[in-house]
Amino acid sequence: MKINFILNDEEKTVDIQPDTRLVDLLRERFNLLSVKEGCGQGECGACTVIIDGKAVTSCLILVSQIEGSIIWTVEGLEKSGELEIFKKYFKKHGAVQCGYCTPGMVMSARALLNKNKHPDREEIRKAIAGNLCRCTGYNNIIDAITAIAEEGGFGV
Amino acid sequence: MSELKVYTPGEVKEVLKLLHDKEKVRILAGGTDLLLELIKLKREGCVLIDLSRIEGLEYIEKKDEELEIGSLVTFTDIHDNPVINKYAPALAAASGQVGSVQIRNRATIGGNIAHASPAADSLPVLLAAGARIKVLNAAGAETVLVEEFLHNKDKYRNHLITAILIPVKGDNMIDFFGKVAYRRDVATARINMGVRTVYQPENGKIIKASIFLGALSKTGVRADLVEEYLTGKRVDELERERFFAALRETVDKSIPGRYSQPYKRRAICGLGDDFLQELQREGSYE
Ligand code: FES
Ligand code: FES
Repeated sequence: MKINFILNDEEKTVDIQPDTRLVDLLRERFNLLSVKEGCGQGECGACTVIIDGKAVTSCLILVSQIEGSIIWTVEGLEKSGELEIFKKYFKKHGAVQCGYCTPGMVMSARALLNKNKHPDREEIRKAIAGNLCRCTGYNNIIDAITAIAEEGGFGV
Repeated sequence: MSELKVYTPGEVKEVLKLLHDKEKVRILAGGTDLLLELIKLKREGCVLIDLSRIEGLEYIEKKDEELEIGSLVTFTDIHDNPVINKYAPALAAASGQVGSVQIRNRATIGGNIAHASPAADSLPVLLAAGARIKVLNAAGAETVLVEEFLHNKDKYRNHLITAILIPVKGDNMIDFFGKVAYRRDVATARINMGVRTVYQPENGKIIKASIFLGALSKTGVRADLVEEYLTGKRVDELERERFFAALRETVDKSIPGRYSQPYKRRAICGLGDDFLQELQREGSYE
């Protein structure tokens, strides 16, 4: 099946088995290795990407469902320059240990900032409730996202 | 492993034709429930009908005394929608408790009903409000109570749910949704409860109570003993212990001897307590 979509600001067309999961398309076809698979069950959020402005788990999406969608991964944020601010504050607040959850956290935070430019801690906590982190205990991540929101400057 | 056949129809009538013609078909809406079984679906050689290219099933409208919600509306959109927050607040609340942000962004109300997992958070509130759904198959359209649909799932297997119809909450009604789970967020309900009560504005007497408990059996369980206890009483006449006893008895009747019975018969009282407080806030008359 031919599928068209926009990935990290580039138009793409792929010819692929429609029952391929989005996480596999991104990792295997496009080598976007920021997209991690943890549980494969929608529970851990490691595979979180943004589709049409919203955070979603790419392990529970088939490629047949993404026709015409606009998809962002961490590599796209890197290209646009936005990733810098995430790097700066995640580092400053000690929000990265093993790093496995980090790309998913970044995408969930970025999607939150689409919807809510000035989230409070509770709103941040809710936004990343679907992202499991085995290392940090979450508070450092919430601190980092709070600082990022304060610095602001995100387009939608 | 054999691959799945996936169809991506652009029109409802093509969906109906596929449902009619194909064996082992499953409808793919948001996918947050169905794709958990991806490996099994492949093994069984299932056929998927992916609804992502169907337009026109993503609306929310108030029509007289009913809210009509297209079956492909996501829980994020339900939770955020001002009309639903005003006229079906318990549904808005329950929708905000479905899974994580990522799940709510994909999961649809139609999928939640069609899949009807025992712990689905939208079901007790839909049941309590007496919601109906519009279903279609090759033979035509039908409107059926959610309760009836859930009890006759085989009959409706080859149907497409197109809309959900919910009687709006009137000024003389109190709606409630509560859930107990292992964690605060993103957790499957261990037990949940949806309520709609109607009271007489003059004296605050409850004239009708609909109460459904989820995660107890395959479909929502009507708490008829509790309904009976509440009906005809004013809020200030309710006795906590008798109310709790009726809740516990409902749990005991539904899951006798199940290992979770002792836990759930206590948990239900926590929810009952929240509900009583809501009643006292909203429905007290001096
Ligand atoms: S891998 Fe997708 S949520 Fe865990
Ligand atoms: S930093 Fe290790 S899982 Fe979050």
